[in-house]
Amino acid sequence: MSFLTNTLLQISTAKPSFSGDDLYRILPELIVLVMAVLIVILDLFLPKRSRPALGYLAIAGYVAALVATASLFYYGNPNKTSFSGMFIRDDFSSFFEIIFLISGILVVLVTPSYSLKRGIPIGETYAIQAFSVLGMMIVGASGDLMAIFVGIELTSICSYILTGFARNDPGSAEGSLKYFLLGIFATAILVYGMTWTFGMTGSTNLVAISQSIQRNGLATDPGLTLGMLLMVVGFGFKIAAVPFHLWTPDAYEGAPTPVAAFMSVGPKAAGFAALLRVLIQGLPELAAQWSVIIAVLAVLTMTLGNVVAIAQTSVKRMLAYSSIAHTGYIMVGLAAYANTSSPERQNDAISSVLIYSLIYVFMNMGAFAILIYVQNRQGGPDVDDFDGLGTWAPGIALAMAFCLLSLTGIPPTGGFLGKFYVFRAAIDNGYTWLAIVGVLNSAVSAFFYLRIIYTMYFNPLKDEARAKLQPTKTGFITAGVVVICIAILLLGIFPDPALNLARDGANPLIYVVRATSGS
Amino acid sequence: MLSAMTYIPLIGAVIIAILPSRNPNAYRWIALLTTGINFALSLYTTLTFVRGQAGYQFEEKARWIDSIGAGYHMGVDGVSVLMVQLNGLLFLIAILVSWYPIQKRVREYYVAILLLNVGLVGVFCALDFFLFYIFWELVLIPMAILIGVWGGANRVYAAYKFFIYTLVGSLLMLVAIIALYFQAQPLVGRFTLDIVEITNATANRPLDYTFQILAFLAFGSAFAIKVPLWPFHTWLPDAHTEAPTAGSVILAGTMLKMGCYGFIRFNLPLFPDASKDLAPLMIGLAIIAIIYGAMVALVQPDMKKLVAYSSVSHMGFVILGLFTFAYGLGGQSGRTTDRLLLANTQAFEGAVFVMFAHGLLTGGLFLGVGVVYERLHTRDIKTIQNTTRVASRMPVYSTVFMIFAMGSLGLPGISGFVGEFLVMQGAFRVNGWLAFATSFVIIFAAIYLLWMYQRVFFGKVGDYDPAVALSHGAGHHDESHGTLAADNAATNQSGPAAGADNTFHGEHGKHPTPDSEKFGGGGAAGIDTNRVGTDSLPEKGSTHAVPAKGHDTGHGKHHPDPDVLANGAKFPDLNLPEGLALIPLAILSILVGIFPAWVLDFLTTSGSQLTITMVEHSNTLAEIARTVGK
Repeated sequence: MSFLTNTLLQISTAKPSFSGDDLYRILPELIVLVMAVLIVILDLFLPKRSRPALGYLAIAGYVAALVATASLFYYGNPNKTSFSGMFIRDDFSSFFEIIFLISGILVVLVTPSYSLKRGIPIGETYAIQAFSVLGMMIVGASGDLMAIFVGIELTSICSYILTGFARNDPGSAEGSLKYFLLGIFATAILVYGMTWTFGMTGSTNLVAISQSIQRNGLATDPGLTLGMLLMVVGFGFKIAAVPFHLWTPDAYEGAPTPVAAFMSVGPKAAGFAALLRVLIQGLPELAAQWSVIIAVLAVLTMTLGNVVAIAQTSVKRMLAYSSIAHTGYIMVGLAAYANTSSPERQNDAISSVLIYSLIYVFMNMGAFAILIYVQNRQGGPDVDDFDGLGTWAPGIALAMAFCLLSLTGIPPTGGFLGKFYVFRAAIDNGYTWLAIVGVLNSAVSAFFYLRIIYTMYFNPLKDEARAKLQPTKTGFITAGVVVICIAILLLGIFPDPALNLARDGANPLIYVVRATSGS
Repeated sequence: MLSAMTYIPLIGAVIIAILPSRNPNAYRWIALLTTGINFALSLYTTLTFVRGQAGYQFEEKARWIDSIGAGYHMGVDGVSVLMVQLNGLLFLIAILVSWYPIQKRVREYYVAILLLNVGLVGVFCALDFFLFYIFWELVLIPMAILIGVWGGANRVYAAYKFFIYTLVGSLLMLVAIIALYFQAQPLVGRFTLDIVEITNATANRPLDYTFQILAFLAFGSAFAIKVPLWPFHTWLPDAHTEAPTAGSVILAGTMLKMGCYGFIRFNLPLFPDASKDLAPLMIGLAIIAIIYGAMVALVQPDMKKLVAYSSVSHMGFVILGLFTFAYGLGGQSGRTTDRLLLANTQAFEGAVFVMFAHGLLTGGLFLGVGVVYERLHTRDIKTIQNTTRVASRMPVYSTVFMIFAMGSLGLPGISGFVGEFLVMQGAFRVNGWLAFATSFVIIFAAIYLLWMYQRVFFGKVGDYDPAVALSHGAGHHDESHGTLAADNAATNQSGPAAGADNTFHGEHGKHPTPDSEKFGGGGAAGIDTNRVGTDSLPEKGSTHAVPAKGHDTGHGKHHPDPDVLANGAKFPDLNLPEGLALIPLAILSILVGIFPAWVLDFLTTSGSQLTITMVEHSNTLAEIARTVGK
């Protein structure tokens, strides 16, 4: 490692803003980048038969990056900016990188059995996923609107491609096209918001923006408010908040299921990372304004997601709406930030977003992984296809029940802890009504989550359907599901380490805010 | 000790879940062993519990989730030790009575029931809000599964209703817990979810009055749904009717107590001012529940529904006791609290005694209904009445069932009486009319329980007369050949079994023997079969006069299960597991009724402690008010 950094140091002394230190701070990103490029190259030369082995390379890459992130985290992140303030390596970025890398690993585990069965090119899938993860990591670690934009776009473009990856399936192409058209529209709005912000404050650097607002008393400036609104709309699209969610059900339904699983966790978390960075780090002075907007959007998002999910007959679509609803829960934590000036409570709010995002990755991935298994065996993603899962795949059914209970928020699962933490932040910061809306929504969500559990255990599998069950390779998925279930249980029963990580992860944002407002 | 008691069922459940053997008896024995150990531990806890000592005993404390102030804290006081004891006993019994009836998915059944046990022990022992909430919700899932998989015809609806109903309540409680956590923080001095710490802190410095009212309502809605208090009771009859016998026993025996326990542990000590000011409301609801439950029980055609509604009525007594107790305590309302009301701990003791006795008696009644159902495959009172005379066939069972019925209607000498008496005494101190109204309900209880007992166990009125029974047999002798053959062809609705029986019956008519009365060995089947078909006969003293007509009018919509006829011959008295479950329960409920001090001793200290907690702070409040000069 020191050799590597030394070498890089020698190469990189050309420009003053680009030092070896910078490279050491982006080590996790570099590892993922190298891994992605390697996969692209190897995919060209490997015979088709041995391409699935690229999955091991992908996992190895993610794990290496995870180790790098964790050690940076453990040995104290430098909390410094690199590349002229474009890139920030702090606990916040490290926490989100952990989320992204975990979702990357999990998606590699669930992909092969689905893609191989349907003839979807697997090497390219891995490569594009890796690029997407890279984009998210950049978003999490960016200290500048430009870097956020680059990262978001890298992620989004990869998502458009992945959605349309089942080339023989018209649904996939349709979903991809819808997603793409609406996505570029949202991106345009986002950029427009960024230009307004830049125009008003004279900088794209988040810290400089907040300083400029403070210095020039821009907090009530309508132009800046417009910029903030436009950016919230743009990010709202990425996290699938109502009313910017319209692409979600179609894109998820059309996309290959592993891609839908990936999109429902990774890019969503990246959107939240961007929102947190921009709103809390860049626009803390406007908190009174954006907090109300986020709170209202949270109510809409939770309610619509849960209510519409009840009516779905396809589990895939149902999970799409459920992912919208969970966006709403996370937004509750974000909204809670604004109502307080005590750093302790601000930390509560931010860390609730972080911990919920982490738990959500596991439970949602778990539900999707089992959906993939059922799709492989039964052919379809409908609720009926889960008939009697409890008898023909008892272990998988148990895991599914566990994930669904976690999504409902029943203790002792991680989902409960996440909800507890989010609602705690909301109540603490004077948003009791928001917490009550969230709690009632949890009760509503029990309807559709329980329906699947009911189907799995109480509906018998019809004989003709049993005859049609197809064989599938389960090794990777089983491994993934086991990891997920253990993680959900641990996060539910012994959440202390994860909570401490999340609290650490939330600190940098608060300190930056205090530093700027103090100066 | 308490942790061992909580997690041993979990270990048992895991062992059953991963056991390679496919032999259902293995599961049964493991479950029995587990609950047996659990019962032994709970017995040990109860016996070594120091009764005069204030505060919690068998405490266990450990650090858990520091970042939110949740700790691992278990402990029992007089109330919870009784509940844990009851729980241990009822689970042992529940395993016993499931021995033969449960033949479908045996492994899953025992896993679910043991998980339920984990949740229930945990709820009564947990002294930390986070831990408490986990156990509270843990109870929900296995119970819904028990109802949904092993329940009756309408089980899925009942399971859904049960789950959603109680989930809404507990989620509101969750919000209140979090709010309380922040409200208590300045009082305790740090963020904590420890129930004891928060209670002690609020006893010295009361919470904000508005907050008390809101939190009381939020907690109260969760508990009122669990109790269930009118008007939140609608899930209960469905859940009870559809649940398997063991599920009903647990549901009535301990799960309903979770709600009452919640009121005792949280609402009264934490929000004493709200408890006092909302006491009239709660008393009103309790009175409605008592009267409404009894009235509705009067008209139930289904035995289990009848017992379920009687539960609503009895649980009303608990709430009445608790809030007549609270009525004189606490108090920002400015009402003078007279000495008689201040020392109203007997209402409290009575309420907890009703909880305990109700667990024994209603548990016993549900077991009894299950026993009949196993044999007749119906719980419809009229159908059973028309089918057979249970008392003559199952004398032991009838005796035991009578004890439970008498206890439940409040006969002195059996445990049900003591609690209700104490509660009524407490109610009398608040208002004589309250006691008057509730004592009237006991008459209703006598009516519905005795009616049910008479109709189910003694069958038709005419059957009392042996002569009629004899002539009934003789009538067969005369006419059976002709009428019955025609009858069979025309209106046989019970398939081949009945046909065979009728033929047999004819044969029987040819060779009448003195002891082949209808209660005698083999011939019984045939005669009973006929009586199902022509039930209007015996009391008229005539014979099979108009069999076809008898069919139509007698049955109406209450068709007996065809199995009833086929099973007519197999009609044994209590089998071993049932006997082991029912008889000790009956003996215990008599013993507790004769020596109520066994139970009440546990409660004296808890009652006075609770009084002190609630009054102490109101005194402080009065002092503050005096100094401020309000």
